[in-house]
Amino acid sequence: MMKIIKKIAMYFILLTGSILVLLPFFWMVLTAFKQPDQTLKYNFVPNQDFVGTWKKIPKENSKRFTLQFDPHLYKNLPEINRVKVIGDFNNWSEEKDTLICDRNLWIIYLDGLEQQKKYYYQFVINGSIRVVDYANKNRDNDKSFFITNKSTSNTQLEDASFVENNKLFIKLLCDKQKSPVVELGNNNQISLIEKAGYFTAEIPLTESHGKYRIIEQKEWQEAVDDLYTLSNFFKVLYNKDFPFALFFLNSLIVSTLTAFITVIICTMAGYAFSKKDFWLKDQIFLLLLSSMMVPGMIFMIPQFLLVNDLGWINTYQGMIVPHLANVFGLFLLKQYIDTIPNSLFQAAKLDGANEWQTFRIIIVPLCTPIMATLFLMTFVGQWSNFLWQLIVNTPDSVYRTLPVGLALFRGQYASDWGLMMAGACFSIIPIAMLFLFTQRYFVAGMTSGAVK
Amino acid sequence: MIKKLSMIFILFFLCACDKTTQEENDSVELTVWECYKYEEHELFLDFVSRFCKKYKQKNGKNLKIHVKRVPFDDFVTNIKLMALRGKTPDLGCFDSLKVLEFAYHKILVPLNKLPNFEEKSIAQKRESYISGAYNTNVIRVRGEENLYGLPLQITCLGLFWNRKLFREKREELTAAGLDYQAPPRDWDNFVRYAKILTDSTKNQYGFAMKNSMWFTIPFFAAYNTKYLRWDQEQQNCILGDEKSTAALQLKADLYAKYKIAAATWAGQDDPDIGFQNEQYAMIFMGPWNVSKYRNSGLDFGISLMPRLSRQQAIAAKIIKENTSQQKYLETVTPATNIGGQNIAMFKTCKNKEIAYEFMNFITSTDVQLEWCQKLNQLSINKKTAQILRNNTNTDYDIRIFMEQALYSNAPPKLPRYGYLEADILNPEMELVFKGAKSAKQALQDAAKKINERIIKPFQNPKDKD
Repeated sequence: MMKIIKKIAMYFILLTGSILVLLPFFWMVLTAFKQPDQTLKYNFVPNQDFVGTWKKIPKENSKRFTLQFDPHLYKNLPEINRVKVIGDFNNWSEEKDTLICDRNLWIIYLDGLEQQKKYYYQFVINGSIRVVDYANKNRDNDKSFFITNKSTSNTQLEDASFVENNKLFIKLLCDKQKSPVVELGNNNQISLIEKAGYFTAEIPLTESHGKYRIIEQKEWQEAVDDLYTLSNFFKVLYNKDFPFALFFLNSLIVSTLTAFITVIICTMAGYAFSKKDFWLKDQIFLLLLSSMMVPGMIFMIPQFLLVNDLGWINTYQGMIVPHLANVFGLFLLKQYIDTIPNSLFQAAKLDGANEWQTFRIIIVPLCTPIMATLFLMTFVGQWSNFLWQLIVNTPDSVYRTLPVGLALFRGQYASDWGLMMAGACFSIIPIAMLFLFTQRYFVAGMTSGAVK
Repeated sequence: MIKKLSMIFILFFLCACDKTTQEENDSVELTVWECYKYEEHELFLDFVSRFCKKYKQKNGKNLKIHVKRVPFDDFVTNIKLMALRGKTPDLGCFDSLKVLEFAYHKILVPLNKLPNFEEKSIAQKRESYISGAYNTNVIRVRGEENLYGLPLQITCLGLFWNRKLFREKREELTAAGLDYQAPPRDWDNFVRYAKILTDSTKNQYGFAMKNSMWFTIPFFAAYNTKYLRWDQEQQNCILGDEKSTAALQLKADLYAKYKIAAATWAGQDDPDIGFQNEQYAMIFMGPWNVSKYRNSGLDFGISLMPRLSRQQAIAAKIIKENTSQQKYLETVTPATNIGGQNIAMFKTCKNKEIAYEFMNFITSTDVQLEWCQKLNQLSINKKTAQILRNNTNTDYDIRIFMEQALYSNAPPKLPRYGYLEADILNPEMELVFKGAKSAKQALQDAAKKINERIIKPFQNPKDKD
């Protein structure tokens, strides 16, 4: 029993640890799928509730005037992100009277209007488009009007709730509602009953807690579509200003060639340093090792100047050659080859093998795991290398790699997170595949020498 | 055979890479580097082709302008490396704050010395542009003042306020005599609003703001802070004086004294994220995030920055007690900072006059009007700005920002702005917010570092052009 509990606890800890470690990864993937306007919002689960805005419970016999703007009556309007009303009641100023979006409608309650007075008004859509009120038949040219004593709203209200005898009567037009519920100020939800073309409910004023709002149910698919999209991936793939395929191919060529040549050079050098004797061998090896103590950034400018003098700016050579001298790889291979018994080399020599044959027949097969490991490490390093590939390529270079290309999505003040994450999702594919195919060698290479 | 072929393949990739630029003898070529977003890039290309056609009609010569997009963050790195190679582009459109740095490194052409600079003086040229934006190009390097670029795009901070959060506190705001349908107009009222809107138990704050120097400029500007003084051809940073201290103290008080601002330095959400998630009722933000917020369904308003209240202005000796209300409104402005992009010419440019012609074209009234109308942006051209402000078909948000831009103020005109901000001013200011230093002490320490590490090296340069 104790063993099972221990096991469960271990799995739980491992699972929690894995989730914590993978959180940035999940965030990246989910953000890549999010709608552009939702990328930095905390919601990741589609919400089926179509929540209306909180409304203050009106006073009994309230004389407020309700203006309602129904976007469905207007054709050729762009996507609406704000509606304001300008009119005689606010001196045609756009500053204050902003309508509140209540599910599919925009509404505003105007208080303090004079009775028996004619008021002209217009709606202002998205800060610049002025329209008359189509729902109101009273119009003079491009302006609508209402007269306060004759009506309390510009049109038939979708939400005609009112207060009478200390009770709140919820009254919603049926035709546009999808199984609505009313939520009160204390977060209690009450289902509405269909009655004579209206959804209704009768709530004592004391239980309403000063405010209410209407909540409808969205279809699951609709809720998902509101939050997630595939468009970021399409935008990355089919964007004439962002040649994704070219960037990807360049990254692949640079990473593969660098890793491949590095492995060859390091294996040969490791063999020489491990099994051959030459003048100042140990001193040279120590000198090379000591160069690892110097931060790589220090070499950046001299390397750039060399590459520039060689005329290698905007070339594959410029991106690949400076990274071929990999001291860490040399150290790794040398240490590994040290573990191969000398008797093997002596036997090969007795059998008449030359240096190349010894290298090919003994070193390469025995060092495959560590070579695969070095290949993988170099590939990953080069695949994500940003700074060097940035500086050896001018902005017009056709040899720019994926990390350099992805930086184009960063703007002066704002970044396109959805596109950046979609690009990053694509960029992890080759590395994931490489790990998948070489994990056997990688694990063997990393653990070699751990057990004697 | 396969091995040989693969070797040839590798060699091919390693060697077939030298790219040469073809130059046609019968045409003039210019290269422009820019870091626009896609829709801006497309429109820019359109204007470039229009200019080329116009040039051919006028001069009978072909003009080719190569436009290259550079990631914004890497523009300076790329330019510095190209300068090292002596291959900078002819023109660059980049962060307005970087003009200073490039001018100090002597890689920019002083435009006022070009033969086709038609205006009588730098000041006369200023009349065509929003002065705050234009001034970021007027730089005094080693005693000599020159015009090193032209403004291209302008941004500034405005006050964003969440109408929904204001509505939710309607009763409390109304009880305090504040209008829940309007934002605060001055800093005293701002504090009153923010106190009511703050509920730290719910992680909800009346205000949040980044702590960097750029985001602190509105405070300094509100107090008419002067950052530098010239004493006998010697520049001196004078931060730590009465005005700058009062400005920083005002900002620090929002965190420490009134506790109405989210402390981003203490791990609370970035203002941008917090505002989107309706945690912060007010933030300072620029026009670049307006469409994102609008499309995400946030119910918010934009207004001018708060100005100093009468009492604050009197205390800071900006106005006198008997100053009229009109004079107060004229003197004490809703000050903000300035950002955006400028266009500048690099010294490697071979066709300087044509390049300057293009700079004038791209910043002209008509081009700017089309640019701003299509992209819903602010204009750096004074006439265009006026047309946009007076046109009710211009987005209301843009009209607000166009008005706000009139009160824009540039940061201190010193080279190495990145270092100045990230390594000197920001850390010192953070110590003030954390209560580890007084505002005066922090600014005086910063001024000392600026004088030693930034001004001094450039005042005694090695003669190496």
